[in-house]
Amino acid sequence: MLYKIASIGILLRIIMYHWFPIQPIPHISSPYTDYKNALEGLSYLSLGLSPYYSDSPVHTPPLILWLFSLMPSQHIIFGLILSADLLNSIYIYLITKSKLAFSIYLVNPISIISTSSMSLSSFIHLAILTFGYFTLERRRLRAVFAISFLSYLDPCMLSISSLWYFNHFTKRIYILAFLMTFSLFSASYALFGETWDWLWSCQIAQLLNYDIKPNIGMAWYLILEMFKRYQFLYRVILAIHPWLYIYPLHCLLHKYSKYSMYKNTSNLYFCILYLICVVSHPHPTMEDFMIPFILISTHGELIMRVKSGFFTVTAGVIGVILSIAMWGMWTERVGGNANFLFFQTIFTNLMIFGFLFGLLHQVNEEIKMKKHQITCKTIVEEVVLSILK
Amino acid sequence: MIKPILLLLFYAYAYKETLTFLTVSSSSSLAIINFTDDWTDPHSPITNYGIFPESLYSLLNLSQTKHFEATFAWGTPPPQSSERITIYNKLKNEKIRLDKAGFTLISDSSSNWKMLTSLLSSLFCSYINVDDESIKTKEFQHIHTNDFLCKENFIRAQHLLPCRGNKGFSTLFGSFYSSKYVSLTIAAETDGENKYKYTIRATVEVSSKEPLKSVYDECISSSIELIEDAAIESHPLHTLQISKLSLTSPSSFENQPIKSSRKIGDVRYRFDTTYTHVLKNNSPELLNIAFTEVFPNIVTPLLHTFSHSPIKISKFKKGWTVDFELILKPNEEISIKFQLEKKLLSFEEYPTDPQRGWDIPSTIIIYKGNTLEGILPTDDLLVMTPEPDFSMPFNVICITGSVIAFFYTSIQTLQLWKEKIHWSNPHYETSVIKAQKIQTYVKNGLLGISLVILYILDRKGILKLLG
Repeated sequence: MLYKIASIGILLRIIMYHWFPIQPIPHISSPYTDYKNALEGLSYLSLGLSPYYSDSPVHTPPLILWLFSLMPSQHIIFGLILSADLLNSIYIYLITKSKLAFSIYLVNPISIISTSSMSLSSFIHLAILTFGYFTLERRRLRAVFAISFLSYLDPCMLSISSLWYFNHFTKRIYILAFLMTFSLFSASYALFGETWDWLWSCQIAQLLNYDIKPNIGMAWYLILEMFKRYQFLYRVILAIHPWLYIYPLHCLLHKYSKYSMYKNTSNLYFCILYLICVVSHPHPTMEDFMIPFILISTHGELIMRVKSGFFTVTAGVIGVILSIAMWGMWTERVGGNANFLFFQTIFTNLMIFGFLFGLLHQVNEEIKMKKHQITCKTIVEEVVLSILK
Repeated sequence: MIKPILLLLFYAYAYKETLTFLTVSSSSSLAIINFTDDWTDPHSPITNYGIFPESLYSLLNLSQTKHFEATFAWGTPPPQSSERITIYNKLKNEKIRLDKAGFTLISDSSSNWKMLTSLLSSLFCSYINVDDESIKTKEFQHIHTNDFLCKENFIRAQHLLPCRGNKGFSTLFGSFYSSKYVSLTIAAETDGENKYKYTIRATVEVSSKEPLKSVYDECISSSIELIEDAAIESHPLHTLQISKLSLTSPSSFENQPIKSSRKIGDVRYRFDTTYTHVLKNNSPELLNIAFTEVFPNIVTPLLHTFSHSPIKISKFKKGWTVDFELILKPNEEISIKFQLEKKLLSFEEYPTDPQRGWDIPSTIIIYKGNTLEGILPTDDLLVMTPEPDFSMPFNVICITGSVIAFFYTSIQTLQLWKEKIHWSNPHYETSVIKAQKIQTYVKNGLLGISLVILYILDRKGILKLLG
């Protein structure tokens, strides 16, 4: 069954890639994951120029660019992206243990269009999913490799590494991760003429959102409409923002694990933090939102108890669909402008966060209920004991 | 009788005032007004101070300066004027710069800097503190101060002109005060023996529709050049009309051996566009062609989409330059195509009329064959870009800030507030003591912070608490 679905997914991707190339839209690709960006970098290299300089349009990290430059044709690069996508679906299956999640990922239009338009986000998703899987399985060294690649490819998602903190990993693993990341950065430094220009063009530009393009996140329009004097402050605040949720989530979900005996809290923490990272991301895509939703679907029993769940998810989906329409209205100038897209993106993000809040509120309610039950039980036991005495 | 007439003719030849207009946009032009004079006498260095100012002669000799250039400027040059000036300098072999606001002095490194600045202060009514840090290299010394341009500087400059403000160039000084950008330069040089040369130049931003008409009042000889769409052609004064709409293509470029046509295949609010430049060789000769495309910062030329490889692509502060070198066979036509990616800028970075579009300035095509050689200006283009909303930055900041604040506080609230403990709970008393402790800490903390704030305000002189 899984083989059949995988074959269909791969076949659909190849068909789309070969016969129906889709013009990238902000819902599918970002300036940092667009293949066009890597192609631009390769063109600079072929002319003997450095692709990394101030305001450079190239944001593909040096090692990825170097890897692509070794490939004889674009089809092989597509093959690499396709393989990463297939691995993503396998790791989704391994994390969720659900054939449905595996199928949803492989045979859905968003991931098919994303892969066929050669979005490099497949590599970022692979780093996140492998990190999640290996950490949940407590395979430390592999998790270190995964998080190092993630920090190299997309430092905006790095707060997801707090899964180690949630799972009480030792300090040694942090040192190992730092060394591994440092070695990747050093290799890039040595590869590109011993300058740090690439760091500004890739990681720092990504973290502080210097190449602003419309997307379904919240940060782009805020930065555009922000007075220049305060822009840096807001860029830094937005970069720090996902890190602020680690401690409350850590406390809440540990309590939940303690009182409700819910075994899958590590997985739940990973999914929630993944979704928070995507909402806080400077340039998220629809696929970025889709994967944590697929992962969180394994906690179906808990989600079913969330009262606002249906409303927020439905409203979020409607918001995404409308944002595509608003994007069209703006760029085709049917009568719209940037505000049209902005409103829908803010609405979508609000709904997604509303869903998360509903979920965590439900968790909190269940903790309270369990605490109350335990207190009542203790009082009853004490009363019974005193009567017996 | 013949001798004075010959002398007058000689002087008339020596004096040269030129006025050049460089159109930089539909609304503004740069007027470059230049007066140059030189003097060579093998026997007596300077005999007639009425022609060559004595003060400059003394200044050069006393300060042992071979060359200096002092510039006063105010305002900001109009956008894209620096590119125009670069092309103009290249074509006319000039060294005109658009200096930033303030006073800039450049001299050769061998000059007595202290003497030069002192003499220049009285000559040009400038204030130069010799203790200010100047840049000194093997070839030159340079200093830039924030001294501002005032009426007195113009009066002093007038005294260096032969007509002393009665005619010609110096009569225009009064109209400069309303200009957004003015740069006034006095430069002098000597070969160390008997050759002396000095230049007074004003570079002024003027409205394209209302040129400096009072320039009719000529001094000794005048010539006006007009640079429109990067084409250079001289116009006699009475036919001068500076307006983007009324000017026709200069006649000197009509029968060129090559033909150039630039286009932007643009959907107005899309984020990418196709740029096409068609070049045709109409001559029977093989022509070598070199040209540079200049793009503003709002667009990025995508290198991987280039139909012809450029020899160089460079990024400078205000945009990109792409250099091409091609060989065109007789009657051959080539089409250079590539994609431009449009950018979104911060709302403050847009001009006041963003929907007009952004200029892609015309540049010069330099061609060379066996017998043919020359230049051809390319077309000016406009590129339309999507823009953010300019009317509601407050709303966007407010709404997005509130949403992020909601995200943060909603999750923190779940963890922050402790549940009430019932009095029957065995931990009730300890929890009350703990709460009281926290209350004391918070109270003292707030008191401490308030005191620190008051102390800072007092130090800044906002509050006078401590006398």
